[in-house]
Amino acid sequence: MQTVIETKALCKQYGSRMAVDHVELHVPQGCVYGFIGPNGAGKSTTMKMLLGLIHPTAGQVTLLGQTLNEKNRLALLRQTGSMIESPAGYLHLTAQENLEIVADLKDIPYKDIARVLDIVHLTQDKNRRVGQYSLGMKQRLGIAMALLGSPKLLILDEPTNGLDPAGIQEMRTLIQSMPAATGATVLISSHLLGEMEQMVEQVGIIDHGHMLFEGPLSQLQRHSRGDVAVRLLNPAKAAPVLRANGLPAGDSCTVTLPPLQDALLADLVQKLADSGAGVVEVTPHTKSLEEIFLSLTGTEAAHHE
Amino acid sequence: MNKALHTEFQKAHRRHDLWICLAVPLAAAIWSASAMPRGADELANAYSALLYSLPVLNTVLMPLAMAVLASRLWDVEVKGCTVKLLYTLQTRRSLFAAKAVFGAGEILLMVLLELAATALLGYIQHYTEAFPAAQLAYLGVCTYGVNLMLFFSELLLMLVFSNPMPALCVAIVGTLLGLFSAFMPRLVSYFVPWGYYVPLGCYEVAVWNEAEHTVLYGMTRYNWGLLGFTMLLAALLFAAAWQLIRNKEV
Repeated sequence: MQTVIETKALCKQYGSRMAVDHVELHVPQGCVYGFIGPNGAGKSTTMKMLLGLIHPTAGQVTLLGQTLNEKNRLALLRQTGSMIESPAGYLHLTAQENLEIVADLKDIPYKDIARVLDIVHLTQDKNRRVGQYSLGMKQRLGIAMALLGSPKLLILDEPTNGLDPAGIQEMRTLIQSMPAATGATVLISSHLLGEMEQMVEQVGIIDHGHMLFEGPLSQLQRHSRGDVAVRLLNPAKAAPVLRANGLPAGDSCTVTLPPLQDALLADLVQKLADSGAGVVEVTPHTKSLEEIFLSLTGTEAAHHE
Repeated sequence: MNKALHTEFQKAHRRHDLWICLAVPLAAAIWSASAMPRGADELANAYSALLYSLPVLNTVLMPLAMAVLASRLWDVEVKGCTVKLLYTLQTRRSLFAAKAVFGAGEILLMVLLELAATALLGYIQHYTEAFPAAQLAYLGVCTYGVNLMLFFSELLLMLVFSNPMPALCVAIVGTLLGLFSAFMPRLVSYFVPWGYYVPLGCYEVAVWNEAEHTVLYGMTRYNWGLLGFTMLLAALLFAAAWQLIRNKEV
């Protein structure tokens, strides 16, 4: 599969701190790629380097098959839409007027504005001043600006930040539909793994400037399952069932089970209930990014052994 | 560049900068008109009196007007969080050049309106003194030069702080210092760029009759040296603002 974004040993150093440390990113064409990491991990810095907004200390960026440099930067970015950190928009102008400015700078006819307004559901509000918009509407306008001219690549930095649950859901649906609706490859960042799981196919995890994992979401999900806490009314009755399934049993009312497949867990809970153990709560723990990383590297080490 | 300038005009829509360009010359004209010359003696020296007082008025009005124009020009990008977006759509050079040309155009409009108001005032109030076209042109060039210098200094402050308050505060303090320096020995005024309008003026009090409270204004030499220094300062501040835009990571 052709890669739309590729970085080689990308580094950015601020003083003695490495904000991005030899990051190797490979974004395949036509997918929604989730770039995940906690706040301050280096996501925005990496994305800014992809757009040439900041200069890498070392390394190389390849966008749409071409190595990014000062000469071809704007030509490549004409085929790219972006929204970095916060949505842009002149507050004293309407959405239509804002999009006209972007269309002029991108050399795109104004007729494309209606299309992107329709995609982000802002047609009704296009003549309202952006200063009167909610944050969600500003985010959607930012995406409309990015979508102008049908770019081959969209780079969106935490587009759901600050949105209410309904806005987040709407944004997810919008982003998820983009490869099919516009043919664009989407690189989207977030600090929430759970949020990404619902819209991306490929993921990259970054922490402290290091790329921890890159690959299909399904591969990551295998490593993200954490322990399951089961709260019981009668642990004594549960003990034989747990032992029969090769699981640890004790006197405590809360039993911690290792990560299990959904079907196995459902079967075990059924058996515990039948035994009269009194299952009152089943709480799955999702691993933190660091724990997933340890799980991944542990697995790799085991493979090597 | 044309495209970038066109977008600056689009951004100026509903920003009402034109009112600032109109308000300053209007304020200067109203202020000047209030000191309407009376009697044949005053009318015969009225243009000289007006061109003597205009630099002082400019010292009061222009620094703040320049701060407002410069800060609004960049503040619109700060408030809209548009800088990162623009840098992906156009070169930093084209953005800065468009802002500089747009600002310089606004200042030119302001200065031309002030000169036009001066000529109009002479016509309306029936000045009998010969129209001092050369002196008026010199005043226009000097005012434009000092305005440009102050404009780029305020733009620089706006770029550094991404907040209009420092630029406005500096302009207010600068106005007071400039006004103060106007009444100090000329050498002192050379150290206060906000007040350069006054030492660049080409009129002076020639005769002050204390008994009759009459003043006769006369011409002095054009201060080309200070005008050249002002333009040099403007160029340096322009270059500093450009370097900041070119190198600042966003």
